[in-house]
Formats: sequence, C-alpha cells, structure tokens
Amino acid sequence: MITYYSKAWMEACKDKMNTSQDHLKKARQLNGKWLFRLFDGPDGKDRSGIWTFQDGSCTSVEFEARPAPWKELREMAVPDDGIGRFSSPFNMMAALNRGEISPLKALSSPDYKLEGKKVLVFKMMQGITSWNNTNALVECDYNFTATDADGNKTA
Amino acid sequence: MGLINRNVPVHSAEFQWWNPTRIVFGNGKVKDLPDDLDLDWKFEGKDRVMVITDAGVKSAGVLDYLLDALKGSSREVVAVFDSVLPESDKEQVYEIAKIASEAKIDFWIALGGGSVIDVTKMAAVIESEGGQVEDYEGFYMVQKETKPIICIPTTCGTGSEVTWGAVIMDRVKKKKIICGDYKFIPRVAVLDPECTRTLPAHIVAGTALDAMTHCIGSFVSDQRQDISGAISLRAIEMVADNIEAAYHDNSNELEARSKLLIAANMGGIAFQTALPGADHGIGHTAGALHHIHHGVAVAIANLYVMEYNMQAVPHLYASVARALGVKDDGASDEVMGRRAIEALRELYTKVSVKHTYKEYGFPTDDATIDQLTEQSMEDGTMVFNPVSVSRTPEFERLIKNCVGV
Repeated sequence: MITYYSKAWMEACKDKMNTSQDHLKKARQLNGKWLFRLFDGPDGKDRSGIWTFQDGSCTSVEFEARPAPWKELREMAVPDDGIGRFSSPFNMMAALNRGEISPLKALSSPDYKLEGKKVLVFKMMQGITSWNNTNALVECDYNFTATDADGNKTA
Repeated sequence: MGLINRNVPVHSAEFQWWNPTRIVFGNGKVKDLPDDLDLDWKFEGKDRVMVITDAGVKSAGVLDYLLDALKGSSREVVAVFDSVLPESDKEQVYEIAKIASEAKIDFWIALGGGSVIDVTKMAAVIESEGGQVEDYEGFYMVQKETKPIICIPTTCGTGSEVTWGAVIMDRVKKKKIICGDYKFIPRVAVLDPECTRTLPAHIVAGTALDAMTHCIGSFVSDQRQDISGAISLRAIEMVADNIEAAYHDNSNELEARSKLLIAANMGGIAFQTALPGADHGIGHTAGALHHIHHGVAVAIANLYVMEYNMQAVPHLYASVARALGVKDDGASDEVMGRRAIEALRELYTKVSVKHTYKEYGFPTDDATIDQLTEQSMEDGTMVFNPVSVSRTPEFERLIKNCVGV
C-alpha cells in the first residue's frame, strides 16, 4: 500500500483528482501553488509537499523529506509565488486525512497554521474541500517508522 | 498618538472589503419600497415576490404594513411564508424553496430577524441550485447567484441584512450549519424603525446585545482591519448609549430604536469582513444544545471570551472600554480591558440579561459541558478568534465559566 504523504501518495492523489469529473467540476476555480509542511513524522522526518493547480487539475506535485527538525523548512518565509501554506504536525494532517478531525477544528487549533493570500484561499474553499475529499479516497498506510528518500515505507 | 485606538500596527496583511448591499434608512421607508424598486434597475422586470416572515412579526402587524405598501404596486406578492421558527432549520429551508419554485418568483423579501433572513438566504440558494443545506456548509460553496433578496430587519441585532452569512439549525444533529457566500448577499436592506416599534423588551435586549457582541468580536477578530474596526467601535458606542432607553420604552423611543437599528446594521457590515470568534462559536453551540436566545448566548460567552483573549489583545479591549464610556484614567490596557467586561456586565444587568447559561436552564452535567466544549471547537467562527483554540485547561475553564459552574 502507498505510504501516507510520500511522493507516490501525492502522485496517486494527483491522478485521482485529474480523473474525477466531480472534483474537476467542484474545483474549477482552484489554481496556483500550495505548500504543505508536515513536521515530526513517525519516521523522524519533516516533509514538504508542493501542489500546483490549473482550473482544478493538479499539474504537478513535489515531495521532499529530511530529518526533523528540518531547519530551513521550519524557518522559511511564506513564498510569494504561492497561494497558501498549510503547516501542522504530521499526526494532525494524518488525522485530518482520515476524517478524524474536521478542517474547522484544525484551523482553529494553535498547532495548524494557514498562511498566505487568505482572501484567495477562502474564495477557493470549494476547490480545497474537494481536493481534501479526493485525497482522502486514496488508500494509504499511516503506520511506519522508517521511509526512503521518496517517503515510501521501509519499516 | 491617537487617544482612542493608539497607533497600533496593521493587523491583516491583506483583506477584501466588499459590501454590495444598498442600505435604505428612514422611519416609514417600507411604504416607499415599491417606488424605490421601480427606480432600481436591478429589479427591472422582476415582479413576482415571495415574502418570508414569522408569526411574531405577523401578529405585530408588521407583515400587513409591508403587504399594504406593496398593494397596488407593480410587484405582486405571489407567496407568503409566515411561520419561520425562532431558530430556522433545514426542513423550513426546503419547504420555503419548494413554495418559491412552484410560485415562480422573481425575488425575495425577508421580513424579520436573523432566523427569517438566514432561512431566506438558504432557501434562495436551494431554489436556484438544488441540493442539501450541508452541500453549502463553509465559505464560497455556492455556484450560482441567487434571485435578489431584499431584507427588512424587525429586530435590532442580526446585521444579517447586509452579510454574506447564513446560520441554519440541524435539529437532528443539534448543531448549526454556517454558510458564507456573496452569491446570496442581500441586494437591498430597508432599515425602517417602524418595523421594530412593537419589539418586546426582552428581544430588544437580546438582539441589541447580539449587535454589541458582533461589534466587539469583529473589533478583535483575527481578520480585523481598520475599516471594520472604525465601524465596530462607533456601533459599540451607539448600542451602549441607547439599549436602556429602547429596552424600557421601545415604542416611544424612535431615536433609540433608530440608533440600535443602524448600529446592528453596522455590526453586520463590520463582521462580514472580520468575523467574530469564540463568543459566537460557543454561543452558536449553546443555542443549538439548549434553546437560549442567540443574542443572549453570544453576549454571555463574550464576557468570558474577553477574559480568555485578554493577554493577546488588551489594547483592543481597552478601546472597547472607551467606546463603552469607561473613563480612561491612564490605567494599563489590561486594566481598561477588564473594566470593559465590568461595564458590559452592568449593561446586561440593566436590561435583565443574566451572566451565565445555567441561569437560563442550561444543563450543568459533565456530559453536556463536554459536548459544549467539543462542539464549540468545530464551529466555523472559532477560526477567527484572536487566540487559537484547542482543548486546553484554559479553554475548558472558559466553557465552564460560560455555563456558570
């Protein structure tokens, strides 16, 4: 099974979104570059995921993971060329993906941070919701303690 | 340096200000509505209207006041729904949307308080787009612009006549569904103090404190910016200066009634760009779990939310204190902020609003308090609280303070 928040998982989410008519309809106003930072994974790594959208289609995904704390990632300013940056502990992002906590609860928590062009982020909320819902349909493994460079489970 | 707000730094690095609702104010303005609409190009060729209201508004004669005004005009009232519940629910949304669809209406008039206005907004969405209310939960979830909505508020608290929000009750899940979208924002708001003349004293108190809480919540919101801040602060002052007069003699106090109606509207304008936070998150949930009046529920929560937020935004609560008429003797912001809370407590007492939920019969058992704690954290407005919220001992204490245990 694909490992949660690995390069393969991001690719699978991309394929799922791009072949879902429902997603493409709901997310037709979803555009731009989005950065996710997930800290302190169970493999001892911080993760960076960059997603780019054009009219709801996911045009590219970029994955990188490094041993935590990945100082540069944690301290980097919000990039100007992106729409939004979401940051949270790995476990919280995983709980969100499993539907164990709601996005609203996450957003009001001090552990979950949304930064960037918030006016645009809110206007794209329908697309973001569809994106989250579609990602949640990709079966994945959350139980791991070690991963390779692409985030695939090795133990 | 300014004496009222100090020269505080810009809080929101970016924001959008968008208030497309045309506001008409004046005593007797409902009578002018047909002529007004004839001059509004957005209503050209739109003749068939459905009026939504509630039993209280009808029995007070305010529905007849509107229908008389429309009689003989080019606008035909093709349907009237006059039994909106105090906390409008999903079932009523579907019922109203169905009637509107069958009557082939061109536009809507919501005549009432927040429940009437909010149910009209959501019925307009369902009428034009179909689906379920939950499909539109959250922000910017509506695809198509609805048919135009005219709002005539009959209370002095909601502000919903100028906002892009609607709150609808799910009675099965005992929760409130919050939707926000400019595609259903009212086209016209008619503020006619004649419509609030017969408002009972306890509703004057509850709705005016709702307006007060909108303004304070918006003023300290994590989305705050200086446009909404300026509007909020003046409206806080207007409510504080006029609530007692309206509470004691609303029908004869045209001046106080007018100011409360305008202040409530200003609160709506302010909070639609800078949403209030935990005061509304907790208040919504308390109202859903136990039928406490919305205005009272949020006003009570605000007393303790102000304490909870005090460390983060004492300078803002100090400004609130000055707007409430607290004498500034050079005390620290935090001291002034605490005096604002005391001033609010005194104001509530003057209009017979209590300070805890248990005084309104809210259950004090652990299970209900736990539900209030958990469900409040899921409310859409929590995101806008100036202090982030999670289940900490401080947050649990805040909830218990609201309940009064």
